[in-house]
Amino acid sequence: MSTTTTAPQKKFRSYVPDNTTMPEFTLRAVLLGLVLTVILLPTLILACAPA
Amino acid sequence: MTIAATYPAAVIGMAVLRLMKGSILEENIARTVGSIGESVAAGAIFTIPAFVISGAWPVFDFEHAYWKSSILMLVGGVLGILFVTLLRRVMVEDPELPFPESVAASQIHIAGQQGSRAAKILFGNMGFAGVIYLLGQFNLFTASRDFIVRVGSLGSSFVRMGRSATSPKLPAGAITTVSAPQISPAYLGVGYIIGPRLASLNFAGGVIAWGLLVPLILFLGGPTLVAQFAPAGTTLPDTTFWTGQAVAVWSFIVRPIAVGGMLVGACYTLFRMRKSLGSGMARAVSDLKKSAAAHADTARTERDLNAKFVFSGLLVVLISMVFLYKSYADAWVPGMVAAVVMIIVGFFFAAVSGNLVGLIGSSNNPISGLTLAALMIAALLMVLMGVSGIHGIAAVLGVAAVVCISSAVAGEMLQDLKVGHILGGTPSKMQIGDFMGVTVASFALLPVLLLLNQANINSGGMGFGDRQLSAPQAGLMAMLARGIVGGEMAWPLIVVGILMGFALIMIEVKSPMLFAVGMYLPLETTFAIFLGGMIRWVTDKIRDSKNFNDAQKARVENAGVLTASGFIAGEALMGIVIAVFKYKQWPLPVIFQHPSAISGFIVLVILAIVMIRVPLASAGSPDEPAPPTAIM
Repeated sequence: MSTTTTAPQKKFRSYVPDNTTMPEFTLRAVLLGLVLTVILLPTLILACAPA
Repeated sequence: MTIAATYPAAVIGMAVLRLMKGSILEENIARTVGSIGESVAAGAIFTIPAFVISGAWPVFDFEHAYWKSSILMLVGGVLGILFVTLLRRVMVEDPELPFPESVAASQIHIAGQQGSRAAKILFGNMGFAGVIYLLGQFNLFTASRDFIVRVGSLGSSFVRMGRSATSPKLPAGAITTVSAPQISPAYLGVGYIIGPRLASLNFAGGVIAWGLLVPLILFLGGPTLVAQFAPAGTTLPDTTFWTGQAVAVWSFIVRPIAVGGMLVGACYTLFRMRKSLGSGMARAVSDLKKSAAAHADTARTERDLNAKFVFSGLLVVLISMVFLYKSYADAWVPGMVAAVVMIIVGFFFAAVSGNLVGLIGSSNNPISGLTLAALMIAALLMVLMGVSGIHGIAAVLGVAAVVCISSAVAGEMLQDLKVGHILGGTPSKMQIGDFMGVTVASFALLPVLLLLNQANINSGGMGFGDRQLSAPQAGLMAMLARGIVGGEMAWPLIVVGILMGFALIMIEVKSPMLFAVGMYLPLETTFAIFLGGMIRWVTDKIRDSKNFNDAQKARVENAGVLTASGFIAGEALMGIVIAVFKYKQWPLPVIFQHPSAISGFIVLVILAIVMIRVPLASAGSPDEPAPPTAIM
């Protein structure tokens, strides 16, 4: 399992701990993701389709 | 194989959000939303053109196709998300699944935060891999190379079918081809992360396909192939003819055998996942009884979408699919059966797809193979219910399209959820983001497909199915749907593949599915992944011989994963750039018209040296404290 631990300890701990609060599902993050979808989609299709 | 959108989405999202002082969890959301559309695109390009090629959709324009195809994509995407929501926890925590591409993507975000030695290794190798990939595209070396191999000699080779000297002879002899490993930093990186055992198992399938089956079939069938397919009067065809025959034998004989093996492999994977699947479903059912307050009390990083929402969503999808499939099959009972089969097969294949992504990454997920298996199940049912002709073909392709998109979305989403698991993202927020990404992708995709189709027609072609726009996977789906519904399927190939799958289980192969996938994928790909696994093996051996302490070993392991991650991401980013050049038909620089094989070998050696030396040089001194480490 992956994550942030010291070498001798193999117990899983995520990079941002469970009890930490920080901005996550913000308008700018979602909008950026949607813009990326629209930009990347045609590129991916055009690259894959004719092959 | 598809181009992984995860890395461009991760790098661009990170760069933009860093300018706005965004958090790492915002980067996680932007990457999740930005990359899920790729899987909808992959699923759509494998199946939507099949409706056109098979004649099920005689008119393919905006007015006739937009809503039909957008709804298929949306339903497939939504199903994938709902299924993975039920399975997320048990799969991301499975210690047997290394999730190579999730580790790579998470390292990009983490290195961006640390801005230290880790960032230097990751981004340095990303640039290095990008340059190597570009040099391959510019013909400094040949990234792919096939070698011609004689199997006997046509005209003089034979197999005597008896013990005496007078027994009849079976004429034999042919020429086959064998691919060298693709010189791809990304595949080497995937092999490095999954390690030598899984990489070898995957490559073993390729060895059986190209080292046993293709040469064997060509050796015994060579004289017949020449008689049937060589130009009239030719008795000794040239190597171009044989190269074509070798590819045809692999595509139309060996790959169906691999699909038979994948059918058994998928069932066996599900059998081995039975406890995980059972506990995932049990947890989802128990969540149904939870109050809203209890749901909110769940730890942030363990909070999925509410199970009531998931099961209600599945019910709505099922009912709407009954109506859609009824319109395809032109009868209620087949429509209902198709919808139920689609839900059941879709759920199990989503689990198998997630398992494969956990083993070898989303870029190597054999979605078209899974879809062919689903298509065969749906087609057999249609034949049993007496639905034939164009209605039968449309219903079969309708089931295949939804299962294909659902499996692709499930794999990509699970890959992203694993990244979120490593980073500490909130699953329910990622799942909502995935809904948004899938919706936008579903409604934005068809115009791109129409554009491709129309551009081909405008240049004198016939649209999808034309030589210049063959859409090979979609063509295969259309051919199989027509073949099974029309009673022309070569079932013995599937049956021997199924028997091969059982044999693999009997000899306790760790993953029969991964072996069959190795037969299905191109040899140059599995070969390159295998080399990546071998490079990891060499690195580990040298590390162990140096008497490093635990902290030094952890630093070597970290640096190895970062180097491999940089290789994967660098090639993916440059792959997008090259795709734009190819679409625009902008000429690429050509360094050599005919690069020598030596140059490719030298580049491969340089890549291997970097992958071995960078981690070992990062061991540091024994008295340095142990670093934070990415443990898989």
